[in-house]
Amino acid sequence: MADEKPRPPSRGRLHLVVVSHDRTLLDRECDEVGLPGRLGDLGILPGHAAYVGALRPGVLTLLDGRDTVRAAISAGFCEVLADQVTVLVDDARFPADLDAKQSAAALQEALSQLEHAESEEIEAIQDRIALAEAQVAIAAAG
Amino acid sequence: MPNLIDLRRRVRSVKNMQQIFRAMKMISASRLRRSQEHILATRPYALQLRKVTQNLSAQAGEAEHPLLQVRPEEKVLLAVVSGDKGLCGSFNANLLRQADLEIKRQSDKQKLELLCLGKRASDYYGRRTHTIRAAYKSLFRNVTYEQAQEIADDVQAAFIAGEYDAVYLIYNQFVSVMTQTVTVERLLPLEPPSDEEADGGQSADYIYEPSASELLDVLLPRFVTFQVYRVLLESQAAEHAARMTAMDAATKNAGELMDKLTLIMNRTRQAAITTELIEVVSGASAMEG
Repeated sequence: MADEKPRPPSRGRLHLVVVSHDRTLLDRECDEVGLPGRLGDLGILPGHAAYVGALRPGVLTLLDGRDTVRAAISAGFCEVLADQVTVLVDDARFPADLDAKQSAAALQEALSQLEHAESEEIEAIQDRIALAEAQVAIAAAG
Repeated sequence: MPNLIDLRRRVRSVKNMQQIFRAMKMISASRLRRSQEHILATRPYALQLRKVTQNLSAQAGEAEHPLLQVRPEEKVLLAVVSGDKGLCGSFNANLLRQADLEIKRQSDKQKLELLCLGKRASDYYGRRTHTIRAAYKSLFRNVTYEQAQEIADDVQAAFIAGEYDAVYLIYNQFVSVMTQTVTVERLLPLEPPSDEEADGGQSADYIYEPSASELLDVLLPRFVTFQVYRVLLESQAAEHAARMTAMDAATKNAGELMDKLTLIMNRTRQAAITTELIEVVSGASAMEG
């Protein structure tokens, strides 16, 4: 479009920091970050507007040139400010920390819990399932 | 005159004790280091959480979240964070004394209940007439986020349900290795972290997704949990520091006691020898005479 607003000046790179309550899990530069937002997946590129959002359990993706890093994260939230992406989660697992069989078993367990769950537990269990699914996906992709 | 054999036995036992004190001091020192590292590791998360919460609560303004709701304090829960074990100087004694004062101060309230975190507090208040909501007896061997979450979830649910109007934490704050200060802190209702002046252009125009008030729903419980977690970690570090200092003093005292006993022992030994010599000499001179 002709009347497109000029994009804010961008350094061209994002700085991603993933922290959990007891350690910093990831701290690096990258080109693009994909996050599982509560209301839908997010793709964040350099020059993104200031943003605060809740995250659902799912897969975090980081693109750095040809390098891709994926991690299964639990629920949390993220902040984007001036090309600085901060993700706060309870837990994040990289392919190296995951075992395909164990993840599959965890998923099965979560699914079976869903069958005889009280109504108020359902949300928590669905979160667990989503987390387990993400872990299975990550583990399988290795 | 003290018996030589008894004295020797005492010196030996004091020496053994000193060895134990020294070992305990070393153990506490290494545990303290680990606790401190643990606390440091939580800093980035704490900082971010604080920043975002601060931004959000400034933004959400009027939308009163149940965890922020200030009510007249009629029903109060006091969470007493003690250690699990003794042998750490006045760590537990100070805390419990302060807690007793706090209880007295709040005694005009309609309802005052206790939450005992740590074996010492559980035992102390278990023998008294206070109403105890829950007692956790082995928290500090290994403080985990899950435990903090369990405690925080329970307290938050009770607060939202109106069982309490305020929740206070009383714990030993880790100031330095030598000093621990007993601190009373309000956990609930939450005080949104205040804008520390000019935090570097904080008021950026954020896009919130979902809305700011819905985000607070996600954020505030985490904030409470994290507060509990932080307090537990801090109390743990303070306990190790207190034990280290106490054991250091005990090692020194044992050394002094040993010196004193050794001196008495040697004097006694010498006195015995002198007496014997006098006896021999006087016996010999009697024979001559």
